[in-house]
Amino acid sequence: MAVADPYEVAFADLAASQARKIPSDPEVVAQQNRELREAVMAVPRPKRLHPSVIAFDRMLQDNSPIRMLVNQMIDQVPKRFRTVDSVEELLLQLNHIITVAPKWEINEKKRNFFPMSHLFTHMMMTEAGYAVFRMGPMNDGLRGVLKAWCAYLDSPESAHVLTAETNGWFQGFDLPRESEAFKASSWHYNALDTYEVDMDQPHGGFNCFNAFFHREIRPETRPLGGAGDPCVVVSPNDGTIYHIAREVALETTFWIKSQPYSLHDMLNGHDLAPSFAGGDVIQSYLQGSDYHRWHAPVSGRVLHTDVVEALMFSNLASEGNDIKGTGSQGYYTSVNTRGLCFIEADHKPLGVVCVMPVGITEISSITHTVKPGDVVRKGDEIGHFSYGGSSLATIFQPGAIDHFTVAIPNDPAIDGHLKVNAAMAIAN
Amino acid sequence: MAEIDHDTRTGPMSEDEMVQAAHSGRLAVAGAKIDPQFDQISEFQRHVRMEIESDRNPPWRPEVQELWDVIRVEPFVRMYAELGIEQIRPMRRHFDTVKQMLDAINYVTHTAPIFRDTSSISWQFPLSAIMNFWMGTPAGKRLMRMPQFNDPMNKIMKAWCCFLDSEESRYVLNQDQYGWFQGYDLRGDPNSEAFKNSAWAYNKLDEYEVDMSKPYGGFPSYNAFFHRMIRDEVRKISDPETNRTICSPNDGVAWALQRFVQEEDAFWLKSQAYSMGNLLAQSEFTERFVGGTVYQSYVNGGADWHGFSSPINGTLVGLKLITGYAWAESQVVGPDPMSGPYSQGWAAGVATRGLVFIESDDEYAGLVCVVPIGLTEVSSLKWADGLEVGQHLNKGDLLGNFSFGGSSFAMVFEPNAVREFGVVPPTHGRNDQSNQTLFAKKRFAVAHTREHIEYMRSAPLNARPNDGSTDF
Repeated sequence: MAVADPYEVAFADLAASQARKIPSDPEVVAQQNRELREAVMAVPRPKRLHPSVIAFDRMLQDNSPIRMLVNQMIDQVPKRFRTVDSVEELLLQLNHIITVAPKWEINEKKRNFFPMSHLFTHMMMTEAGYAVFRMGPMNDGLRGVLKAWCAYLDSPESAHVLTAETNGWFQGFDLPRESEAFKASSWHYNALDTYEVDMDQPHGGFNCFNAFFHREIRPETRPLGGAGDPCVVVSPNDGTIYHIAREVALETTFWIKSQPYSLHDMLNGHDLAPSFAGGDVIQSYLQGSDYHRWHAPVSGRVLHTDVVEALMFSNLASEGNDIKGTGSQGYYTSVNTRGLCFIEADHKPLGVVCVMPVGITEISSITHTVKPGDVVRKGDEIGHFSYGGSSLATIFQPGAIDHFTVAIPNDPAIDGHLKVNAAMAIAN
Repeated sequence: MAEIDHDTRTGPMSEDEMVQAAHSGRLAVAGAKIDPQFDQISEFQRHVRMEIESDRNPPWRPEVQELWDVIRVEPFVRMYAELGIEQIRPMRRHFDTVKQMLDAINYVTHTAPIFRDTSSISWQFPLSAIMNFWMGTPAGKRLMRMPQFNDPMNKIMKAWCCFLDSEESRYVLNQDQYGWFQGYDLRGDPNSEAFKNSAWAYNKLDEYEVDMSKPYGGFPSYNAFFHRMIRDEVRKISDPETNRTICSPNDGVAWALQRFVQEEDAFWLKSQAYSMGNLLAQSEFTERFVGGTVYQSYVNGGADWHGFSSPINGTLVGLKLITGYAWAESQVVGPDPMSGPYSQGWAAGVATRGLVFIESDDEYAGLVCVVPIGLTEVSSLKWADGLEVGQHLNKGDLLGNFSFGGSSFAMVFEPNAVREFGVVPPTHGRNDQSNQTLFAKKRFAVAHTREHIEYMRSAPLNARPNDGSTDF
């Protein structure tokens, strides 16, 4: 019997945990990274690196244990996949990434929509990588770099990739909808017919890349479930269900293989955390082409919103093949950069509901568009992700939910895909 | 694998462990030394476990509470802390939860170290003895490197340092069975076994300023005793007039000598190469030292003097205190019964340390940097009263003191500044016991000087004296 290469198994696992934002073949990622390296080498070394990259470099100089781990992480990548040989090279590649906007690519093997994830993919999987991406100053340094990139993707300059040209995100707009060529196009891949894109305007009416990334969906494609029934709780987001957990404990060893939810950690030690002990968690993850805004799952009043700036590129060390292919999703809820939005439901049995968007890799930036005191109706938009991977958990207090109307996808009879505003659970 | 049987880790051997096993010769030697010491640490930990479960368990210091709060809030600190305890081998696991570990840390910071007998290192360095097994596990090593853990830990040690600076800590300065002056009354018979094994003899207290006519030997605190002054007549300054020689700033044992040290090097490798930039904390003087020489020694337990003095005549041009990592160890050294010394080279780049830059009166000797390094325990440094940048220093002038704790010492020289070292570290395996002892204020190296270089240039080859050997 052929034994799978443990590295490839672990890699597929990681790819899955990133909601397939990276290809599951390590060689494909390495090849794309080689192309990045060539692109960086092809131009003269910039006279001055971006200030955020310089600050990252200074952080490495000042924190010897982190400098050590970063060097070790570079060395520990298997030779056949290594495309960064030194810290200097890493800095140059980061510097390059944050000055470009992602482009559409029709050839699947060449698709590199998430270059920062790709750059770190192999490094994240090393012994030193697991450790270093958990260290505070490392994350603070990287966050600075990512914020600089986010600023670029928020700027009008980044809109140049929003065209119908070969590498533009609207490629395929003018193709006949039934043709094979259309099925391979960006327009189809990103399901742009279901979104508000105004092709009469330059760049589809978007003023920057991020505006395109969290574009609005056409309301008629996402009807509101149980409009008049306060017992019906709707999905806050589009996504694929990762897990539904009932009777969740306040504090657990969230780092073990089964990744039990640990409410105290997830809610960042918020005063309300104990009131959720014994309650329910439903978590789903978003694909790159999914709708990147989230809506209120219930009607009520916003009590508190918060963004916990935490880890971005950390993964749980893989312990073999994870057949569900969901890698570290549960773990992310305790440790990654995440938003907290507590809503006191009008329907009393629901108590307080917490909507928790989680950023994974890339920019991991979270924006709440509501503030404490705001009254929200079920289905109202309450926030959005900027560019990057994302997951979303909704947390209920004990006794709030009678049953979920959706299930995890290992039951083939039920579709595991959540649609925003569609019924997700029935309250007591 | 009898050699690594005393390892505190569980699970299969890591790559590092296999490398160690390959060096079986070294391990056989180390193993013989380590096992009884680990047993002693176990004994100490069991004692503390009994204390914290009794009504003598003191309430937590606010600083300990702060560390606990961090563990509660930072998921990874909790993860590595809990995993670290899990990874201690059951026979060495005397604290079962993180809370108990904090109880133990809290307990020792309410005590002053005692002298039990000449071999009881654990009782002399109680915090190291508590941390030892925990910090040696894979998760523990990571924990010790996390700033989130290290910062509150440093605060706890500062609080302990305040206790050891206070009169309350003097209760161990007496002639009782476990007091530090035990054996004072036995001096009449200096050759007796009882005296030789006494605290007084072991700590060479006859060589220090101790006033036994006063209570507590005249010391206001345990720390004052720890960095007691050595008697001037015991330690006369070597050749104070000339700039040709360099005095040792500290008492210690020679440990490593490296020339041509680079600004940035892989200090984490087994060789523990020095990285000038890290060692000098990216100070503005770093450039002058690139390619230069680093000489490291460690202060050997309680008997050595815990102060340090100027090695040369010169001007003090820079003074800096760096708060670093007290408990972080290198990944590549074996289990360390002393909680730290095996990682000294690494510690030079990451630990809490002072930097004293002195510009020699002789232009060829150039700039010299004295780097006192705190290892474990309090790892705190105090500068001598009135020490100020710009002042002139003579050889032997007091620069500062270590507070209670393990300590190591690096001296950094510019390229070509030193002609010869008289006290040479062991060349094979840094963890070998060296017999090369350094004495503070005593000559340990010869500098290149203008006088010498001009003489060498002018003198005919055959007229040159065979110097070097005559210097020591």
